[in-house]
Amino acid sequence: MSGTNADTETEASVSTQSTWRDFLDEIRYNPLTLAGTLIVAFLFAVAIVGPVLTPYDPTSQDLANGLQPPSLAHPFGTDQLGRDMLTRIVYGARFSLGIAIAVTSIRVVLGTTVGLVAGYVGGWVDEFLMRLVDIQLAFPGLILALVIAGVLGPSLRNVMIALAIVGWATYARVVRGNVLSVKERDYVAASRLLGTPPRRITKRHLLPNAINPVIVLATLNLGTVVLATAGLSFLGLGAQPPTPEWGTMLASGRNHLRDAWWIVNIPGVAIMLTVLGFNLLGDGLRDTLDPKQQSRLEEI
Amino acid sequence: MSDPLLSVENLHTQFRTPEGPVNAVNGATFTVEAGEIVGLVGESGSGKSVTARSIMGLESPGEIVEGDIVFDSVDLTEAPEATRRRARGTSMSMVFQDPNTSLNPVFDVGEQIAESLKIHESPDSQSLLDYLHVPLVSDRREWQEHRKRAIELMEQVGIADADDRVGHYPHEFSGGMRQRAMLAIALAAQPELLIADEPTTALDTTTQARILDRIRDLRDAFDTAVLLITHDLGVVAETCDRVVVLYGGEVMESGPVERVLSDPQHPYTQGLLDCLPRRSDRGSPLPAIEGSVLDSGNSTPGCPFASRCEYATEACRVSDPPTIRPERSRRVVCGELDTVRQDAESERNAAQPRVDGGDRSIERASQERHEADVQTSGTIGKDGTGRASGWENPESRSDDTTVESETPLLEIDGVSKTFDVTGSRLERVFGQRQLLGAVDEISFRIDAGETVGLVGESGSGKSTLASVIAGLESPTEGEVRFDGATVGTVEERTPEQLSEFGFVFQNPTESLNPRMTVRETLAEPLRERNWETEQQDRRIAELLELVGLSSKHAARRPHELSGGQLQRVAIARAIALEPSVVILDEPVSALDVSIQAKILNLLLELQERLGLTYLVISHDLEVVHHIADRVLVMYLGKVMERGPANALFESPAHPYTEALFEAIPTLEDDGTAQPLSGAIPSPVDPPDGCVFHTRCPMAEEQCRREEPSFETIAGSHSRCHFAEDVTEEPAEPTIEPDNP
Amino acid sequence: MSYVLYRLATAVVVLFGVSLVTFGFVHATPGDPAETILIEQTGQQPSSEAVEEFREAEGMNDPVHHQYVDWVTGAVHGDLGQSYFSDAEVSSLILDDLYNTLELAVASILVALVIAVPTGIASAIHQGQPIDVTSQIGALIGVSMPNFWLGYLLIIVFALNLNMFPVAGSGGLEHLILPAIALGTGMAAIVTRLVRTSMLEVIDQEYIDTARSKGLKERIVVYKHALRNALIPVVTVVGLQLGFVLNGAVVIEIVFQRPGLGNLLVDAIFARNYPVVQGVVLVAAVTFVVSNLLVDLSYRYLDPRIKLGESQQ
Repeated sequence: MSGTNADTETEASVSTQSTWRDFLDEIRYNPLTLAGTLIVAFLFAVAIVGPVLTPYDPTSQDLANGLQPPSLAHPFGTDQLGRDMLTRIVYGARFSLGIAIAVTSIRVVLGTTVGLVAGYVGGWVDEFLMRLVDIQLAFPGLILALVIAGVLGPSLRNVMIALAIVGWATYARVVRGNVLSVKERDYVAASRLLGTPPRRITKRHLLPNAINPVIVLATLNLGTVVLATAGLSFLGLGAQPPTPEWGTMLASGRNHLRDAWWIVNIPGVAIMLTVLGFNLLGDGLRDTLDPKQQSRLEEI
Repeated sequence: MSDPLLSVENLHTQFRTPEGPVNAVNGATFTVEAGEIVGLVGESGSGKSVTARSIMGLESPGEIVEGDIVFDSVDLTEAPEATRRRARGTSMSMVFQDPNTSLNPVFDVGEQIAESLKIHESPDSQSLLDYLHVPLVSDRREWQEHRKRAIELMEQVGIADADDRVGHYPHEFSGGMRQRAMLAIALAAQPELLIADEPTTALDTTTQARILDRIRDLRDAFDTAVLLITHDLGVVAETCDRVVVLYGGEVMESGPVERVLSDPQHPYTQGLLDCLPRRSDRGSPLPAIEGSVLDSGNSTPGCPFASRCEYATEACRVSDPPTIRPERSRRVVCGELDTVRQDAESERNAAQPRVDGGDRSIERASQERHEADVQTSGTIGKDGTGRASGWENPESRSDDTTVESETPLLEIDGVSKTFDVTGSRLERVFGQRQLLGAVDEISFRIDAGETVGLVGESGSGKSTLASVIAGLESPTEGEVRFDGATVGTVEERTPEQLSEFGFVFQNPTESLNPRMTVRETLAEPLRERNWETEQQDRRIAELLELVGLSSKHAARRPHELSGGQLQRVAIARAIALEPSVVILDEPVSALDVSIQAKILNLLLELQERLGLTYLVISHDLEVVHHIADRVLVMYLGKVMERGPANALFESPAHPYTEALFEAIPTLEDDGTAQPLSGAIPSPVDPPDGCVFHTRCPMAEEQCRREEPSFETIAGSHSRCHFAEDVTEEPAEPTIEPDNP
Repeated sequence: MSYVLYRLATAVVVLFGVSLVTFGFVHATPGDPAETILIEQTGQQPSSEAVEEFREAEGMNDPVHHQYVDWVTGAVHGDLGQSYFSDAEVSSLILDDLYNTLELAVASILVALVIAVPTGIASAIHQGQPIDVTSQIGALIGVSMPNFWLGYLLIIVFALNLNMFPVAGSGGLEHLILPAIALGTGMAAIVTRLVRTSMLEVIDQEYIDTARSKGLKERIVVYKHALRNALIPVVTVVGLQLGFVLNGAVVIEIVFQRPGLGNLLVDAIFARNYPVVQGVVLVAAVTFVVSNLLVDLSYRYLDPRIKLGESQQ
């Protein structure tokens, strides 16, 4: 039963099931994944249509109305310069999500390419690329990003560049590891026996079978990038006032911890919810895409 | 009669799955007497492992929902957990299938045995700190005492240098040694019942024979009852006193081994026995059980085997079959037993020596056949014609009597392959390289249309040789010629040459891309040769038909197919480009017996229809015997013996070949085999002289110094100084003429 | 032994790369640092002679590779140069603050382990039960929470409202507790999840069934046979988390206005005080590389399957 060759000559009754269908099942059976999906969908909706709906301008000051606690007119209150917090949070979603997607995309493309090349070519190319990866991973990421952003000058664009430079190595490692194991599979040998050139083997066999962990990692990474962006801005190296960026907003509440709790806490909650959404979604994707989980059932 | 030691009554063990509860064990009933070895036989999915685990109290995450397990007059299903635990610690033990995963990797072997001794002494007072050996809390003297006794136990199960090895970790042991250590752990509890779950499935045949020996010895010495779970009827025949046949979580038949195996009554048991390759004519189709193993756990009434049974009636499907006792101590659960018997009777009358009652006419029949074969092959050898003519060997031309008539289809000429296994980069830098000689100067030829079998234990280099021939590895020395032209690695072969080779891998789940549908998998070779889409579709339909799949399978992905179906797809891919040679690397060893038979039949049928040439690599001599015309036996990268299958299987001319045969558990053996001693030496540092001398029962001084060359004996070529003596020795029971 | 040497050799290669990258980034900066610094120091636009004089004095006119060699040679001897804005040695500036940062790092790792290991084990043993669900959700929130926000929350609740701890500053245990919790929580969440997964994986192994089949009590099965195996990957990750802690320490030091490498670094970045920036980054990277090396070697000690002297894989 739980033996090695779990071969039952069963006419598998499952119809063609796509990954997509698996994921829908995951959403149905795992409330956490459902929550993650809803949070992420909601955030994207807010980022896209939110700014159209808010009556206020995110940067126009109204000093007379400063430090207003949450009310009907200002559901999230106002900051020390009298700007509507809700409006600023809504605009801030655009920055956070935009940067997260941009940075993660760059990391994925860069890291996957390096990992594929290192894993498939091997030899000294592998050795060289992996030492590059080691070097990148030898820096505590945020500190390196801090320096890069600081050297290039504080701005959101430079934050993006800094974070992209910092995070690709993990993907390279994961992809290389996967390629190395997939490369040894017999279906790759079968393809080699046909004389299939390496490029087509990579495209047809290696990439599709090595990409699942990358999707999971990337989803979880979106959350990490949101955190890092906010962190850099919090330190003053990212978005500059009056940009409605969550980390910057949070930092500006430093002097009002006692009298205006909402200034730090509302951006804090926004950041946490976003990261939580991506984490929940990433966990759900892992359940769907990680074959280990599926083999659990087969063991019974 | 006193109560049996263990009595399992109507056991139901259930698993919860998203699709609802599944009964892995569905009403199993059997007993084990003290001092008795009972074989629990079934294919995967039959519920045999879950039955064993239920007895041990390890059924979780399953749940025993019905039935009794009475052990030592205590019903364990109703006993509190503490009682079940005490039973495990003091009177029953279990050995698991895979010794690589059943020992804890972070504790040394001595610790794991000592722990078992400690539990046995005081099963009810276990303190965590004591077991963690926290200083001052734990009794060091007692611990040292236990370790001393652990050494004794290790010696008892046949671990050499136990003194030394007691402090070794499991990863420092070979597979066979790990299983012995596991056995020592089990025996430390001085159990009344030892449950062994496929204890030798993960091991080589020669190791298997020694472990089974050890289990029998222990039974004899301590009168321990053994419940041996296995899928291998040969193991049952050699080791067990009684057998219980399980299907779909229910017992189909049970009784004394010699009675059940010689006169199976239940159609399923009959089918199982019929599928064994050695039971039928070489090269002829094996009888296969139709259909497939059901999803275990349909708890609906009716016989679980009904859907595959040729005798099944409506009654079999809707109501539970009756239990019939054809003779004392035998039980058959079948509703149509009369029909089955009548059928057997009429077959016997029709002089078809099928499985029949009482005596061993089948053995006799097959014996006669074997003898006839020997004669035929003798003739072939003399006039140099026929299929067995291909023994041209460039390395030792002199001892070959045949004349090179034509260019062989495939010629392997002095092929060697060494791997660099230098441990660390540092040693590499200093030039201290370690080379592993996987294949050592091998030469042979394969003619069009024949089947050559390559036999050997793991580590013999047979798979490496297959990779070299296929072009996946380049030979360190020598060359492979196809149709007279030297072929290099796949990168160097022309598309036409590449198309001439097909390859079927051992494990179909590994050899098919999990993300590609069957259609995409089969289209890949065609696309690489730039076929038109329309042609591709036609060819794919044709291929599916050839391997016995239907067009509805084309859209499926591997996880939606069974192991047998997957292997069919893999075979279809191998023949997609109409190759002339197909290399089959352990094509059926990952499959269940009844599916093995179907795949072997398919391979034979394809060879006939398409005129294929096969190179079959297998550790399973019976499989090779069934389909190969000629056989090469490999050991440590060298060919030990080669010859026509019949000659080689009838009278092996090399002690290694002989040992391999003796190690196979067969239905007819009665456990007198002399298993091979020692372990395969490391190929990094092979023995001088004859590589086999370290394990050879016949080895003499000459063998240690001189490497033997091939001797021609009775149609075979044997690389042994004493080849003549081997054949003159009394043959072992399997092929000894059983004259009436 | 040769594995240790191999590992040391790669560590040296990596450190060489690290120094190159650190040096390179700072020297690839747009703008003339000399001019910037003089403006900062004097408050007015310096004359080109003054800039030139400054460059000469600071060695900025030497060829780049000379500057690099000088810097690395110095670094190896513990000399990281001088701060642009004071006579202080960079190395002594760093040493002053290193203690504070390490104190915070160690305290937060302790906080993380004390929370994570028991929670993770309990979660795995009671898989699917309320305690597991609660701790999993808690861990998810912990992972998702920005630590600077958690820092402010802690300040608001425990310092401003309950007056249990000081808001900011350093010295003494009461100054350490809130920052350590703020920094340790995120790591605790990660480690909890890891212990749980690792434990679940180990409990599924056949050797756990072997242990049970011997008649061992479940408690001993879990805490002797399972835990030892489950902790192997945990040790690795905790070691690697040191980088995470250093990252977080920078932010947390700002939140709690605690002296330390983080404050030093951020101030230096804003002031373009490059010798200090280079020094701090180099020290952080070296700490990280060395701790990874130690973890890797200890991992080989913990897991008998991996013997010293064997190559990877």
